[in-house]
Amino acid sequence: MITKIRAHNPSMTLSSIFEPTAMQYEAISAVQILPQYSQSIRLGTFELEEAKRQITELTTLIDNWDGYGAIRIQEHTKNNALAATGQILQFSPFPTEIAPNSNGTISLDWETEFGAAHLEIGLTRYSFYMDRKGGASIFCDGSAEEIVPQLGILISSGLFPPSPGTAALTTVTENVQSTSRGS
Amino acid sequence: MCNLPVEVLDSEKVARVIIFPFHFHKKKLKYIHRAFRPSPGTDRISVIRLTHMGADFCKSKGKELVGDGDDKKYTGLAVLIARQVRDIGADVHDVPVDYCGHAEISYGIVVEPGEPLESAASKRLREMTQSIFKIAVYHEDRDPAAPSWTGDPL
Repeated sequence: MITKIRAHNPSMTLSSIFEPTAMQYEAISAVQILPQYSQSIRLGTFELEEAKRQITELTTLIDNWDGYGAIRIQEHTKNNALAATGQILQFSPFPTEIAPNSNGTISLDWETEFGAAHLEIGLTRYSFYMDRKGGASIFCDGSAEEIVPQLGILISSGLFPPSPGTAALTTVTENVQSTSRGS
Repeated sequence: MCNLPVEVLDSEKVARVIIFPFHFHKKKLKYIHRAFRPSPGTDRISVIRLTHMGADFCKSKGKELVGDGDDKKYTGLAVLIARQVRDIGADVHDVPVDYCGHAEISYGIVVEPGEPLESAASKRLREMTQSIFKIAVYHEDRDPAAPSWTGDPL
């Protein structure tokens, strides 16, 4: 049975993201937490700025922007999408596509060989689902103002799993004594 | 006065006008399933009864849809057979109130203005639009400025 996540649940955790076919449940691969956190943040900042630029650009669309009666993206929807990307892109790669929908919502899509995820953000709500090849779908709904970074972890672990045998990355950044051969 | 039969036969072809850039993937620059997403507040997309109206009419309507602005342009027609549309659980209806030859494909999932569908419904709609996309045969208009359809028969 599908149980809808409460729209206003500030303490949402991964456990509140449901998979409707529990019998087919397959554990999500381990989330790779890199010790060099500052390195990933630097990369994330660049991607975040690009995502924000693309989202902000969508608000320039006027009514009937698609020729079929599409409505413009409202400021509040844009702000929700900006806040969501700030949360999600801390943990997930840049979306495959950021696109407006004719009903005035904004979609973020991720697609890899492991499956696809779709996040749609509106004025007050968001909806999210992820299809993993060979696995069960994951669904999540809630308040557009409370999109949690755990979605980014879900996307990252479900669609961008670490290769088997990937070792933790360690980069020495200071206090390195250089040595030269034969000295 | 529109004298077309109200019933859209299974064998009929309908055409969807494809518009750049909004029906295209931003990076891949290929038209995608988004071209078949319903209009806000409805479960429907507009199509033209190609079998009755002909390619020239469809092209003319396509150019009319995009207008004179630079923000969007007509690129071609995606052709569907009514039976194939019905086979995936959607339907095709005659809707002459807009103009004679106008029809609509309905999905049974209404898209609310300003808000996303609930996630399970969103997935169902995406699957339907992707199915429609797969069965549609896209004919790029290689001479969109020409007043009539100059490509292969649709």
